[in-house]
Amino acid sequence: MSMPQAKIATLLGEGKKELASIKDASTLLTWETKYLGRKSELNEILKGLKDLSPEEKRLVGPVAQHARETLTTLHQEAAKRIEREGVDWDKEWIDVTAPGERIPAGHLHPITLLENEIADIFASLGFGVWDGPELEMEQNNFDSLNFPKDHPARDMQDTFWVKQDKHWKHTYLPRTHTSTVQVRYMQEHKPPIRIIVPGRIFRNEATDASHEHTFHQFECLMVDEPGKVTVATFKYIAETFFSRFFGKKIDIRLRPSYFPFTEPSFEFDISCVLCERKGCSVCQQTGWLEIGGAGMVNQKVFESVGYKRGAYQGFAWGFGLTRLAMMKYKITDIRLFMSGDLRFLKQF
Amino acid sequence: MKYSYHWLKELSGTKKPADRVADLLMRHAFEVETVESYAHHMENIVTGEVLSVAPHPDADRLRVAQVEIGKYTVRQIVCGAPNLEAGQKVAVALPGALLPNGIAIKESEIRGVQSEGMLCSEKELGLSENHEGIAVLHEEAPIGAEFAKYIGLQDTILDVKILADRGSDALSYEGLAREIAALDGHAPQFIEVRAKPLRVPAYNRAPKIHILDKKECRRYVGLYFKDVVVGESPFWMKTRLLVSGLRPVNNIVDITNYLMLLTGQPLHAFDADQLSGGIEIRLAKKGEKLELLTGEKKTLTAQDLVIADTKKVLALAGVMGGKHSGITKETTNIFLEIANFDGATIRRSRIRHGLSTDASYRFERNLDSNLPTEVAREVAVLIHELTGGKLMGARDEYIEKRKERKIELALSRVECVLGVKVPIFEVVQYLALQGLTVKKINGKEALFVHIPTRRPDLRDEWDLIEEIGRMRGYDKIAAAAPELPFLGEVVNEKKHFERRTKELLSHVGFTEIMTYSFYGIADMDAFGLAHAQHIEIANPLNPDQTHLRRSLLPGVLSKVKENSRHTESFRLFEWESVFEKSKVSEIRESKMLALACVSRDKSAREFSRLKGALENIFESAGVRDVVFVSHVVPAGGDEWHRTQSADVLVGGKKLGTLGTLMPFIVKQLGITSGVAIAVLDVEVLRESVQTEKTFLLLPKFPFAIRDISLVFSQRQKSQAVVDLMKEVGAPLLRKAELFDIFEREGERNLAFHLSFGADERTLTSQEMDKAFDRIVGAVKERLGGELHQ
Repeated sequence: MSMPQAKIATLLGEGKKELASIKDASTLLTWETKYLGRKSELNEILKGLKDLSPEEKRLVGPVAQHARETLTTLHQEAAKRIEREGVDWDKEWIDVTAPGERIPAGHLHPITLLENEIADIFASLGFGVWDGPELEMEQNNFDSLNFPKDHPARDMQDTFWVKQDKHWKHTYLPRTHTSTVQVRYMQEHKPPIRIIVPGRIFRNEATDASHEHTFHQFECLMVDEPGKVTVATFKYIAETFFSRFFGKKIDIRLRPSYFPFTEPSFEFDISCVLCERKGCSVCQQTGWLEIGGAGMVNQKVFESVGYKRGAYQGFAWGFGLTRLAMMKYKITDIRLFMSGDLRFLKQF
Repeated sequence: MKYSYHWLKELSGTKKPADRVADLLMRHAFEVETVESYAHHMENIVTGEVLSVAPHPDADRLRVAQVEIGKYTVRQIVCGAPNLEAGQKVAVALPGALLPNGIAIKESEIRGVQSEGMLCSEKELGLSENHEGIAVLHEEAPIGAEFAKYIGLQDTILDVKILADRGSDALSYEGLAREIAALDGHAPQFIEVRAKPLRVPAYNRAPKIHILDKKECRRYVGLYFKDVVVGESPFWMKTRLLVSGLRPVNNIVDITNYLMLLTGQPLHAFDADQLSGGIEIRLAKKGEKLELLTGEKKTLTAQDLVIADTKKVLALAGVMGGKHSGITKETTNIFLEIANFDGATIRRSRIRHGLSTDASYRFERNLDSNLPTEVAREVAVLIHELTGGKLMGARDEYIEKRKERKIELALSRVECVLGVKVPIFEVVQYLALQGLTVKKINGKEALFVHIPTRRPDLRDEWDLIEEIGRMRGYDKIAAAAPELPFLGEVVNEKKHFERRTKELLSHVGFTEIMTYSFYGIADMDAFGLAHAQHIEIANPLNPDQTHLRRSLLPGVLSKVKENSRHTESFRLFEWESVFEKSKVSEIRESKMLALACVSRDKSAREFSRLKGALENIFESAGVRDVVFVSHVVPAGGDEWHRTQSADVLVGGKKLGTLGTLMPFIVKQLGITSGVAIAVLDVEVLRESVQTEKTFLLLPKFPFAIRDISLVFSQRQKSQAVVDLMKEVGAPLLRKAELFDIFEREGERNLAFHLSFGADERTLTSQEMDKAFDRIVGAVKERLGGELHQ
């Protein structure tokens, strides 16, 4: 009778070798039965240990135990390996480049997106968002803002007028600017005031790629006691806002202007966002982009809302939200905003 | 206004080139829209001297001239002008010249004689309408000079946008020259008071002047000249008019235009022999008629200010003169008006009659009523020198002399507004350069500033601070962060809700559109909207945008149609104002939300998708207890489909309507896709939001689910079945959820998942059976439904 040790060594060697080539679970099961099963040769040897002499037992026992442990460990490893790799990959193939199935997503209008973005920047500077009606009284759109009746300043804004009903006491118009809300807000609130007013406005002018009779503007109003909100403050707020909005340092340039509701009044330009003042086609080689009008609120406006002359001071600015959207997204035709064309809107 | 750089330079004394002047103005005063060379169209036209004139061998009317156009350069030119003489200095168009009237000059042979150019008349040069002979230049004119340069048409034109409050002074060469000199840091070059005072003869032949409406006319100066000779004005005056964009007419008219450009004061010349009696300045009588200089006939209103004599209206004051009393070639005596009218009156007249003139543009900006004094002196000199006219009399009716204003300026206020400290000497310097008289007030950090009457825009301290700020330059004010008091958040609930809800809408697949707030009669009719409550636009741009919209539907549906051309299935919404007349508040504006679901499926299928989306929104927004009931059609009908539309109710209030549209509307619009629409009132929606939430304990014992399938023979609404099941199944029935609808041969089969449960125990099957049977019984008894076998 050959020594069990040699048999064990053979079993161990063959078991290892066979195991290495196994690639599927059923073959692995056959192997397990053969080498580790109840009727396996190794098990027979282990069961036969009790019949051996103490000396033989001492020699064969550990070898057989070790072989069993080794094969068990190897079996576990092989089982893990087959779990991961024993798959028919070809059968499982899918086209990973085919488009995904999407939940239909809606898009907010670029003007709305911009309005939200602006509101967030201003919120961080302590400004709230306010609004007012689009159909306004002549009083709020012009008179209270120091546009006297029959004054040439009224020509600065081509106005739609509403056909007067004979029972009406007021004259109405689709507002020509968001500055109407300055009046409404100040009538109801006392300074300090920090608000922005985005909204739809109307100008009676023919439509083409760069003109619209309906567009969006956004007003900024900051009022406090004299000396607290100055031209220098305005420059700071404007610089901070535009730098955050465009994500780079923006300079402000003020030029003299005239608006009835501000004194002093400015046109304000920002340094060109493309060329950084080197001059390019967007800024027509000037290095500056015209953005809007601004100024220190005229004391007459304060008086018209019931504030005492000289008691407060502040700035107001207004500029085209639509124009800003065109700059930001490089939109070349203003009419697209009101087109309702999904091919346009879904880009935002 | 268009300004000649040369003229401005002469008056202001600046040494800066045109583009630097433009830059200076842009930074400190006015926007300069363009800086361009004056297009004189006089290339290849030079000055020359006629050396000799000989008859043409083959034509009686033509002559052959030898013309020197440079050292040793002589050209032979055939000319037909009767006034041609040897020794004259002339304008010679050389081959290659393209005259202002479009004629191209070439070398040619005229009846067998070589001609190397053309001698030009004033008309050919574009200087006047005079074509009676060639233009004869001053005897000292150089030979061989560029003609345009010689007469002063080689110039740069600055188109300056004068601000609306500076019309009183800066819509004139002197005014802008004053501004340029101030920005340049010196006094202007012209003498403010040039001519001697008018010497009115004692016999004063000028007609008497009566200002009847004193609010509308503040001052009226009238000068009477006799023996004027109407003719051409000198080249220097013509060129100044041309470069400023005005056409020369005749010496009288040119003088009035020239002085208007120079001083800003419009003047008007009447043919004095066409006037009878005194001059009245009064409001017109309703229906009075006037034929304007242009030949246009106007019927006047009682708000129009006119100049009249005792018999008739002569001119629409401040706007345009009448044809009858206009200057003609035969005019020998003239009456000259230098007036000051109320701006608003002139503005209303020019708008009413659709006439905008250089005069009305200036008058409506309220001119300085002291200006006519200087202008009268100036014009008397020019009329005498250029037309030979003799001043026979003058009248000056001045209602109330305008006085200089005095403003006290506290220096602390300057810093307080600008946010930067400006030293007192700088303040004084800026104001003085602007022509204001400044005095320090003793013992006070303040100044007295006297404002000349030409600057009505300077009314208070803030106006002066603007002058200081802009003179100094706003770029010298550094940005400074404010010290802000804590305000708490300024929250506008409406805007907040709008933002949140729009975002929710986009999450369930809706794209936001914006459409115009206007529509037309055709849109109202297409949707059966009554015209009456609509607010009409008095001056619409287009016939299809005549009214403010009362409904978002026409706009939304037109976009549904347009998008259907390229997109098969989509969802969109618009959140905007609608407007209508109101008996209570005159007008009413409210925000509405319109939604559309579109695809190639049937509209009924889209109805379900849209309703589902709304339910999503309501749940996310916190709008609970929404009920959908069959739409109640108002008397007179509406746009909603009779059996596919529902009213949306919250707490008994109508939130809006959801459904498909009347088939004829969809057909008329040419929409072939399936479309479901909802229109919600944004304010009702916002008020329905419940933000409080109270936690409910999670069920300790599992619910048991049992399905029920019911067959009805009629059109049974599922909501009623659910309501009934909940009523009779209580308290064990926790939820009833419709999961299938099947319709066949007049039968309607509704299947529900029913969830049964109790808080304190697991239900036994007997308990559940009992509740189930109760439900089956009630459905049969009350709704006639059978359990589906």
